[in-house]
Amino acid sequence: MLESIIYLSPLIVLLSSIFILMFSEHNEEEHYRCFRFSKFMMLTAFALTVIFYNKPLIEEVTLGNKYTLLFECMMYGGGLALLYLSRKWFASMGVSGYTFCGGIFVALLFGSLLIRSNNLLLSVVCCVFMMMGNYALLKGSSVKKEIKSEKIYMFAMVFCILLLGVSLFILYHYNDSFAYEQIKETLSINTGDVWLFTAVAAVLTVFMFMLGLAPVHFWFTETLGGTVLPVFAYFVMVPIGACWGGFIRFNTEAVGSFAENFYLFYKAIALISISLGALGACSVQNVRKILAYGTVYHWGIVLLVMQSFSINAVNTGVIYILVYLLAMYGICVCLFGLKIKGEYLFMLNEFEGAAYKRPYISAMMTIFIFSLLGIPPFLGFFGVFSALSYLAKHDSFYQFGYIMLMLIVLSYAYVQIIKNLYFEKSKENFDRADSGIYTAVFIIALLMIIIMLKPQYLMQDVYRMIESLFL
Amino acid sequence: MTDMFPLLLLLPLLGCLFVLFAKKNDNNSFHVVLFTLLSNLAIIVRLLTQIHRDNNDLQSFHFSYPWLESKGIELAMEANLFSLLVLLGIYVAFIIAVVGLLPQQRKNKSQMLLGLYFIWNITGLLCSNDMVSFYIFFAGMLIPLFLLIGLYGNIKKNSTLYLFFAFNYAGILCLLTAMLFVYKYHQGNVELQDIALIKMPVGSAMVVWTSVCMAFISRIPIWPFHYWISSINSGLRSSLVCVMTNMLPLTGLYGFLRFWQITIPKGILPFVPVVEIFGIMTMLFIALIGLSHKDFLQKLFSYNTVYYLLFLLTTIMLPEGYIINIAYSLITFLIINASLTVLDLWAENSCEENNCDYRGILAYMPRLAIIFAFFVLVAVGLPLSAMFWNNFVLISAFFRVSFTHGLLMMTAIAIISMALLYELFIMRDTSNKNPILEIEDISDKKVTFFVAVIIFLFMSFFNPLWFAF
Amino acid sequence: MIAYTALLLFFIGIFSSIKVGVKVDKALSFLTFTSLFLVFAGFCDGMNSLSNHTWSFVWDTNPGSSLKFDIISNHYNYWLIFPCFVLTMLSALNSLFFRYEERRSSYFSILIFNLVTLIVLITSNNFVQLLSALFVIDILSVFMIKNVDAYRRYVLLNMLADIVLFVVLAIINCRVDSLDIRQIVLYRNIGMHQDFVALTGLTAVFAKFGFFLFQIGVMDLKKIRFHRMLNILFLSSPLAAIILLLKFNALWRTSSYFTAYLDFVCILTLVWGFLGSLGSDNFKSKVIYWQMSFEALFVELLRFHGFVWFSGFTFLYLEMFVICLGLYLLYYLNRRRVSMLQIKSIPLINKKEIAYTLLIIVAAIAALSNTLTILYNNMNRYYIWAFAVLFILSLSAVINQLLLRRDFKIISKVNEMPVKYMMFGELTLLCAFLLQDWRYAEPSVWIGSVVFVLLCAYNPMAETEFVYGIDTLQNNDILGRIYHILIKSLRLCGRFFWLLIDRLFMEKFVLALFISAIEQSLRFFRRLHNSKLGGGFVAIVLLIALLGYSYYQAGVE
Repeated sequence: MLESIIYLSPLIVLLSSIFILMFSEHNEEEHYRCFRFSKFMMLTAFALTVIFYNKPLIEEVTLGNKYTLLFECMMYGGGLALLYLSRKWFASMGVSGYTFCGGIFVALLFGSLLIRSNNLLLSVVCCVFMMMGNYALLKGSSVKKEIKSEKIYMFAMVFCILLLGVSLFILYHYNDSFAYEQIKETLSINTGDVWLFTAVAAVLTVFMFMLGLAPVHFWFTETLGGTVLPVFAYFVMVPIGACWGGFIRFNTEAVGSFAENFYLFYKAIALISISLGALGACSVQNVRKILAYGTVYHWGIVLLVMQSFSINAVNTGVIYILVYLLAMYGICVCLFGLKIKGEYLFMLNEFEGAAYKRPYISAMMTIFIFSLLGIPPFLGFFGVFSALSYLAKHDSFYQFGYIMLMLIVLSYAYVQIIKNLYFEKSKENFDRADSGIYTAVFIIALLMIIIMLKPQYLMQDVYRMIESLFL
Repeated sequence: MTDMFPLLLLLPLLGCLFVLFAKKNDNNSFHVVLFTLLSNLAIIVRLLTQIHRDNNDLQSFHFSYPWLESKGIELAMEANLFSLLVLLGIYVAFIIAVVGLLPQQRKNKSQMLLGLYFIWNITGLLCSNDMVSFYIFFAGMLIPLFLLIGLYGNIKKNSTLYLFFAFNYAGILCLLTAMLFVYKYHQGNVELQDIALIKMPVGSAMVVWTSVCMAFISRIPIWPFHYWISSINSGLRSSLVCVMTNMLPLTGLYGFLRFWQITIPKGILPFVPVVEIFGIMTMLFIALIGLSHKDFLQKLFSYNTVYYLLFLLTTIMLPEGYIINIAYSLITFLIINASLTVLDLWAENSCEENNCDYRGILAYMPRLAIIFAFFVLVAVGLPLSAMFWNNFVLISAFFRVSFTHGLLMMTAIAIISMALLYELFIMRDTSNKNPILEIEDISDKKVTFFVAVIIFLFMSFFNPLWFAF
Repeated sequence: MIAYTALLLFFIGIFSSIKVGVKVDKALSFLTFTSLFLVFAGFCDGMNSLSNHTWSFVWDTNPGSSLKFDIISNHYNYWLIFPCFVLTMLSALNSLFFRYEERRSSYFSILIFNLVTLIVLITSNNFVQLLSALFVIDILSVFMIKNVDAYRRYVLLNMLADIVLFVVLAIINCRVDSLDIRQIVLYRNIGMHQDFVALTGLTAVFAKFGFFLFQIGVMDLKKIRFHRMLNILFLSSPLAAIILLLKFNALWRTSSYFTAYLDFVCILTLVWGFLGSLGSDNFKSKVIYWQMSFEALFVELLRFHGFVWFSGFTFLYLEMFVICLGLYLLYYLNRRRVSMLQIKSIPLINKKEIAYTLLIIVAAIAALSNTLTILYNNMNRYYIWAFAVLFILSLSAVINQLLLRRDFKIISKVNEMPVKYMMFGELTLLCAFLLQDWRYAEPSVWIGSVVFVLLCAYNPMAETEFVYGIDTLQNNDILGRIYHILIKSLRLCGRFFWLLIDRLFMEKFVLALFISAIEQSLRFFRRLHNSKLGGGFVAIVLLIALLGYSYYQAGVE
C-alpha cells in the first residue's frame, strides 16, 4: 500500500499543486510566488517521475518504462521551460498566473497518465481532461477576440468527447474490457469489422485533433495565432509529448495488426498535413500561425514515417519529434525575448529589423529556424536525415520527393521571418531582454552543440528507450 | 606535420568564436578574420610543401572523427594536392577580399562572422572525403551566403532573394537525396571515390547521379540555373560578399571533380551530351550578355561564369590527367576574380566619394590603373600567370575531344576577354573630361599588398608551386 | 650567344627603367645607349660564328608535358634579330639626340624590353614561348603608344589575333601532341580542318600586320608621336607578324588556298595603301599607308623566297625605315603639321635642310630599288613593278604637293633643326649603303631614282590634292563603322538574349508561372480556411472519406 502511494507520489504532487493553485488567493502583484511554487512542485514531480519511472502509478491500468520516461521528460522539460520563460510575461502584463500554472499542472498530470496508460478508459479520461485544461487556458488567454479561438476549440472538443464516447461504447460492447491488450486481441480476430474500425478511427481522430494534424488542424493553427505567447508556447511545448506518447502507445499496444486498415489513412493524413502545413505557413503573416502551420507540416512527416509503428519507424519519428521540440523551445525563448513597449510580437512586420537591436536573439532564432528546415550543421539535420533515410530505405520514393518539394515551399514562410529579422530596417525600439532569456538560449544552444558533436545521445540512446515499448 | 591538418578546420571556427565576442563597431573582428586567414594560408603552404617535397611518399593528409558509429557514419577528412591548391587560391582570394573592405565595412561584425563561417564551410567541403561531411559543408554554405546577400545585396525584389534561397535549398535537398540513396545501398557512410563502385539498381543509380548533378548544377550558373546568381549579383557592393558569391559555383565545380574523379557514372551517361551542349550555349550566351552590360561587375560575373563552365566541361569531358592543370588555373582565376572585384569596388567608391563619372576614373588613379590593367590582362589570358599555360593545355585537350566544342568555347572566351579589355579602356578614357582632377589614389599599403599578389601570380607563370620550397 | 645578348639586354632594360630626375635621366639614357651599343657590337661579333647553341631551362613540368624555355643561337636567328637590333638602336639614337621624350631612359627601357621579347620570339621553339612573346609585344606596344584613343582598337585587334593564334596552336598541339614548332610539318599528314586552321591563323597574322580590313588598329596610330608611331610600325606587331609568317610557313602551306588568299589580301592591301597615301590629308596616315603597302610587298617577297629570311630582307626593311625617317624629317621641318591642307607655306629658312632631306629620301629609294632588284629573283616582276610604280607615284606626288605647291615663306626657323640630325641621317644611310651589295644593280635602279626626282618636280597625281578638302572622305571611317556595327550587333545580340531568356522566359514565364501556381494554391487554401464552417465541413467529409477509402482498400488487399 505504502509502496503504491510512493509510486503515485508524482501524481499526488501534481494534483496537490493544482488544488493549492485553485484555492490560493489570486494575488496579481505577487505572481512570482505562484511561479516559484509551481517550479518547485514541478521539479519535485519530475524528480519523482524519473526516480519511479518504471513503477506503475495505478496498478493494472498504467505501466512505466524507459519509453514513458522519454515522453514524460519531453513534457516536464517543456513545462519547466515554460514556467521559467512566462513568469516575466505575467509580471509585465500584470496578469495572474495561477490559472496558467494550474493549466500546465493539469496537462502534466493527465499527460503523464496518458503516456503510461494501457487502458483505453483511462486514456480517454486523460484526453478529455487535457482538452478541458486546454480550453480553460484558451478561454482566459485569447488576445484577438475576433478569432474566437476558444469557441472553435469548444465545439471541436465536444465533438471529440462524443467520438470518444462512441468508441468506448463499441469497444466495450465487443470486449467487456478497456485494457489495451484485450482490445488488441479482439481487433486481431475481427480485422474486417466495420464497427471496430469506426471505434478505433474515432480514438485516432481525437489524437490527431489533439496533435493538430490536418484536416482537423483548424483549432490548432487558428487559436495559436491568436493566443498570448505563454499559451502559444504551452501548446507547442507541453501537450505534444503526452499526445504523441499516448498515440504511439495506443497504436502499438491496442491497435496492433489492425493498423493495416489505417495505412492508407495515415499516409493520406500525413500528406495532407504536409501540404496544408507548408501552404498554410506561406499564406499567413502571423509568425505564430506560421510556426503552427509549420508544426502541422512536421507532424505530417512524423506520421508518414511512423505509419507502420514498427520499432524503427517509431524511433525515427521520435527523433524527429525531439529535434523539432528542441528547435521550438529555442524559437519560443526567442519570441519571449523580442517585444516592443512591453508587447510581444505577432505579425511579420513587427519583427522588422530585430537583428539590429537584438542581434544575439535574432541570430539564435535564425539558427532554430534553419534547424527546422533541416539544414546542417544544425540539429534539425538529424531529424530530416532520419525521416528521409527511413523513407528511402522503405522505397517510399514518391513520399520522399513530396516531402522535399513541400519543404521548399515551407522554406518560403521561414525565410520570410528571417527576412524581416535581418533584411528590413528597424522602425521600433525593441525592449531589453532579461538575462533569463539569454541563459535559456545559451542552454538550448549548448544542448544542440553537444548533440551535434555526440549525436549518439539522440540516435542511439533514444532507440534504447523506444525499445522498451516493444519488449 | 599531419597534425596541422585538423587546425585548418579548427581555426576558422575559433575565429568565429572570437568574432562573436569581439567589440562592436571596431576593427577587432576584421583583425581576427585576417589573422585566421593568414594562419590557415600558412598551414596550407606548409602542407603543400610537405606534399611537394615527398611527392612519391605522401599524397594526402587524413583525419577522421567517429561521429555516429551506430549508423556507420565516420567523418573522414582528406587534403590532397588538388584540394590544397584550390584552398590556397580560395584563401588568397579571401585575403584580398578582406583587405579590400572599406573602413566602415571592416567594422561590420556580422559580415566578418558570416564570412568566416562561410570560409570554414568551404574549407571543410574541400577537405571532406566522405558523403556525409561533404553534404554538411555543402549545405552549410547557404546560410551565411543567404544572410550576407540579404543584408548587403541591395535586392529590391522579395522574390529574388527567396528564389536564390529556394534554388540553393533545392540543390541541397538533391544532394541529400543522393546521400540517402547511397546510404540505403551501402548501409553507412561512404568515401567519395567509392560511390561509383556501389552496386545499386539502374533506377536508383539514375536517381543518385541525377540528384548529384542537379545539386552541383544548382550552384553553377548554367542555363537555366544562371538566373538566380545573376539576379543577386548586381547589387553587391561588399568585396567579401562578392567574392563569396563568385565562389559558390566553385563548390559545384568541386563537387563534379570529386564525384567524377574516376569516370562518368553509367547512370547519367546519356545526359552528358546535354550538359555539354547547355554548358557551351550558356558560355556563349553569357559572354554576349557580358559584352552588352555596362557595369564592370556584371562583366566580371559573365567572365566568371564562362570560366567556371570551361572548368566544368573540362571536368566532364577530359580524362583525369588534367585535374592538376585545372587546379593551377583555378588558383589564378580565383585570385584574379577577387582582385578585380576589389579594385573595381575601390574605383566605384572613389567615384561616389568624389561625385564623378565612372568612365575614365582610372586616368586619375594611376597606381590603381596599373594594378587593374595587370589583372585584366591576366584575366584575358596573357602569359602573366599560371593560367595561360594551363589553359592552353586544357583547351588543346578539348580540341582533341571535340573540335566544334573547343571552337565554340574559345569564341565565348574571346568575346568575354574583349569585353573586359574594352571596359578597361572605358575606365581609362578621359574623353568625357571629368571636371575633377584630384582623386586620391590607393594608399601605399594597398599598393604593396597588390604588388605582392602580382608577384605571386607572375611567379606562378614560371612555376605554379614556386612558394612550396 | 644570343641568350647572353638577351640576358644583358634584359638587365640593361631594368637598369634603364629606374625612375630618376630629369638631369640624371640624360646621363642614364646615354649610359643605356652606350651599353646597348656595346651589346650590339658583341652581337655583331657573334654573328660571324657559325656554331649552334641552345640555352634552355625547364619552365614548368605538368602531367601532360614539360615545358622548356629555349633561346637558340644560330646564323639564321642572328640575321633575323639583326634588323630588330639595328632599328632599336636607330630609335634609341633618335631619342638620344633630340628631346622627343620627357623620360628618355624609360622610353629606352621599353625599346629594349621589346627587343628582348623579339629575340625570345625569334628564337622560340615551342608554342607557349612564342605565344608568350607575342602577348608581351602587345603589352609593350601599349606602353609605347601611351594614348588610350590610339591603342584601344589596335590592342583589341591584336589581342583578338593573339587569341585566334592561341586557338590555332592549341588545335595543332592537340593533333601533333607536341609543343615543338618544328613538328608542325607533321600536321600536314595528321591534322584536321587544315584549311580552317591555316587560313584562320593567316588571318590573325594579317590582323597583326594591319593589312586590308584590319587596318583600323594601325590607322589610329596617327594620333601618337611620329617616332613612336614608327617604332610600332617597324618594331612591334607587324614585325612579330613577319616572324610568325616565317615560323609557321609549314602550317600555311597545309591549305591549298593559302597562295590565293595571301595574294588576294596583299594586292588589296597594296592598292588600298596606294589610294590611302594619295587620298589622306593626314601626313602620318600617309606614312602608315606606305608602310602598309610595303609590308604587303614584303610578305609577297617572303613567299617568293620560300619564307626564308636572308640579308636582302634585312636591308629592305632598314631602307624602308630610312625612307620613313626622311618623311619624319619633312614633317618636322613643316613644324609638325599633320594636315596637308593646313600646310599653306614652307619655312624658307629650312630650304637647305629640306633639300638635304630629299637627297636622303632619293638615296634611300635608290637603295630600296637595288634591294628589290636583288630580291625579285625573276619570280614575279609584275608585283614588284606594281609596288614600285605605285609607291614612287604616291610618294613623289606628296613631295610635289609639299614642296612645289606651297609657298616658301619666312617663318621662324624650327628651333632644333639639327645639323646633328643630318649627320645621323647620313650615318644611317652610310651604314645601309656600305652593307649593300651593288653588284647586281641594274640601270633600272638608277632610272627609278631619276624618275622619282622628276616625278617630284612634276606629277599629275599631285592634282589629286583636291580630295584633302573633302571632309566626308577624310573623316570617313568605313571600316571602323563596320567594326562598330559588328560589335554593336554582338552587344545587341547579348541584350536580346538577356531580354529573351532572362527577362522574358525566366522571369516573366517560368518564375511567373511558379509564383502564380503558388499564389493560386495559397488563394485556394485561404478560401478554405477563411470559411470556418465550410472548412470544418470539408475537413470532416474528407476525414470520413479517407477512413472509408482506407478501410475499403485494406479489405480489398
